[in-house]
Amino acid sequence: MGRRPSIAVRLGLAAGALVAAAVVATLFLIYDTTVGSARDEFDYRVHREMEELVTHHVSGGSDALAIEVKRRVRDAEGERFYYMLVASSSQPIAGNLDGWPEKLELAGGVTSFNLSSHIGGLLRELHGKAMPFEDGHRLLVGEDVTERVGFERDLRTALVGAGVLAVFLALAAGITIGQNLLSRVKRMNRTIVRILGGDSSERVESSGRDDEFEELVRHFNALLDEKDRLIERVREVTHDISHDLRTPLSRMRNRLELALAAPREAGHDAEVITRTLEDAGGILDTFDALLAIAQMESGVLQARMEPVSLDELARDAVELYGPVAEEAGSSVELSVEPVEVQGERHLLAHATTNLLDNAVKYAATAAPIEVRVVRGPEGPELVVADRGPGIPAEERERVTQRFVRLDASRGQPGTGLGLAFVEAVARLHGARLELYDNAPGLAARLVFRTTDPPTRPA
Amino acid sequence: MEVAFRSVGAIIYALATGMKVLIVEDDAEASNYLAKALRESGHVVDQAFDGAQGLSRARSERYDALVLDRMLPSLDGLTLLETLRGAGDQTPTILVSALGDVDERVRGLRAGGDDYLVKPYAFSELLARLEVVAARRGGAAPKTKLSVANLEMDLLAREVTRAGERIELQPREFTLLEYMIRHAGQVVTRTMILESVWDYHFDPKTNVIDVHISRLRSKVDKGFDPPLIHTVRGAGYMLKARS
Repeated sequence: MGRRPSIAVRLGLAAGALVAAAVVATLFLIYDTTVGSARDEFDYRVHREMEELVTHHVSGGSDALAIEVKRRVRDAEGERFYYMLVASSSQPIAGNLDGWPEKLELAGGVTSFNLSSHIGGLLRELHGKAMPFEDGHRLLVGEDVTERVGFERDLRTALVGAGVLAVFLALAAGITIGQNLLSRVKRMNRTIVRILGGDSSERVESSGRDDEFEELVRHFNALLDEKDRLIERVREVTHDISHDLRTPLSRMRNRLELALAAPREAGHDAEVITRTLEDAGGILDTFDALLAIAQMESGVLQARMEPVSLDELARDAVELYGPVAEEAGSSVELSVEPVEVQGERHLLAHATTNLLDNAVKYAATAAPIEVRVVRGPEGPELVVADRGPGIPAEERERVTQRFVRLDASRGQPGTGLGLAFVEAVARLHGARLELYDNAPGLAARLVFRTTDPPTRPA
Repeated sequence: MEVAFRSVGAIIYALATGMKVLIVEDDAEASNYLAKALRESGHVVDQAFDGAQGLSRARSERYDALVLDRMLPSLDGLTLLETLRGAGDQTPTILVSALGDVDERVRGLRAGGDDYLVKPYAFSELLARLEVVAARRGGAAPKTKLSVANLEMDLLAREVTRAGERIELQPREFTLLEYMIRHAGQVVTRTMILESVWDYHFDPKTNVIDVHISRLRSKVDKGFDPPLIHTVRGAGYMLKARS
């Protein structure tokens, strides 16, 4: 894994940066509006003052202007404005400043200025306008803006502080949200790493919240369960193969080795060969059945589904097995109603004959074996019910597993895969295989869970 | 001299009763085993070991039947067969394959195969099927009545009589007997019966077919002469007048 900043942190930072930018822009706007309008007002007042003084100069020249400046200094205006009228030699003529500020130089025309000046021993901030006249005189009108500058400074400090705080909080929030998402992703990742490390029982813990992450966790866990199920299947099959194919193979091998070592004798050789052929046949049967079950469980046969008439299927099977049952001293009774299911005919037929085969093999009694096809409450049902010894309740679950053969049946030929095959066929068809007590005897029922079973005229 | 006579005899025998069969199979050992067994059964055998060779052989000579492996190097069996059929060659063909599921069987028959046999198979099974597909090409006109010796079957009335005496058969028994009469003189195996009479392409293993045959036999042969239904050991059954 690269150590680039994680996606959650990057998204969090981006979101934080956006929020921060918005806050800073807003604060700036507030500052600019507040400060800007105050400045405009100051400017306007100074401008008017200047204009009035210029009017006096126009009408009465420098002397009139000097008189007017002196009057204004004396009057109320003197408390608000600062004036300075100097001659071309910078000799003060009138005004309430000590002199022409050294730092203020005039280029010609009206000049705005901001400067600090000592007035009455105090350092004051001055803001104002100054202009030269044709006779070399220069006039300055200014206002003491010390308070205003102080206010602006305080406002600036406050807003910058607020901005910094906002940026910090926004970024922190972004990162926190990112980390929160990240921690859930990290939790999944840790689980995956543990599973990869071999602990396949590990699952992602539920957060208890009902959100998309929780859904992801649920799906992820379901995926793991499915994977476990498949692995378990593979393990079972491997185990089954090693057991049920190796045993007869080693038996065959032993027999052939013994036969090879023994002197050639036609009768004995023929017997060995016959038994070996039988074993080979048995191995192939087992192999075929395992392959068929595995193929069904992998779902590759799904494409061949078509409407299949269950009653005809049952009739075919009963016609095949009826005589066999009679031979064994029993019989098969068929009762059907026309029912169709969506399915694969060959597999369903094979499953049906497997059920019948079991009934004839293990439960041939004078009482007939019943084969029924009915429309059950859940969907079409195919039932094969016998009156034989049955299977104890605690064993019923087990007999559908591969290679499970009850002790009573070990003497009979068979792969031990018959019911496992039926169950695989059932699963492939979205059906269910139920084994239940026929009191006495065993009943096997295939329940097809179609909500609306398609029917066909009788 | 004696050897020459014997081989001439073999050729005459093959011409009279045997078939000329082409085996297209890339597994040399399987091919040789099959060729030997077929020759011992009185047939003349050619072998091809890949698809291209098989196609050129099949095109340059006339065969009574083809045994064609489904998966071959250079040209696979299905393509070979489709090419032959496309060129109007209707030589009876049995496809042989390790692929056993129904889809594969359907594909094989659709490509023009007359039968489809899954490996591994018993030689007797292949031989019985080979004789059936080769004979099928005779193209007999549809009949409404079939008969072997004094056994008669009326397909329209669905009635069976033996020496003029009516025999009652269940519908499935009728179908079974019809199948055996149509292949009178040929070996029919248990799996062939399951396929033709039940359309079951799997083997229930239990001796179900034997039970059906023995019932049929008790109805058709019991009390009549000569016996018509014969057991061919290790292979299946055959219906014919003289054993």
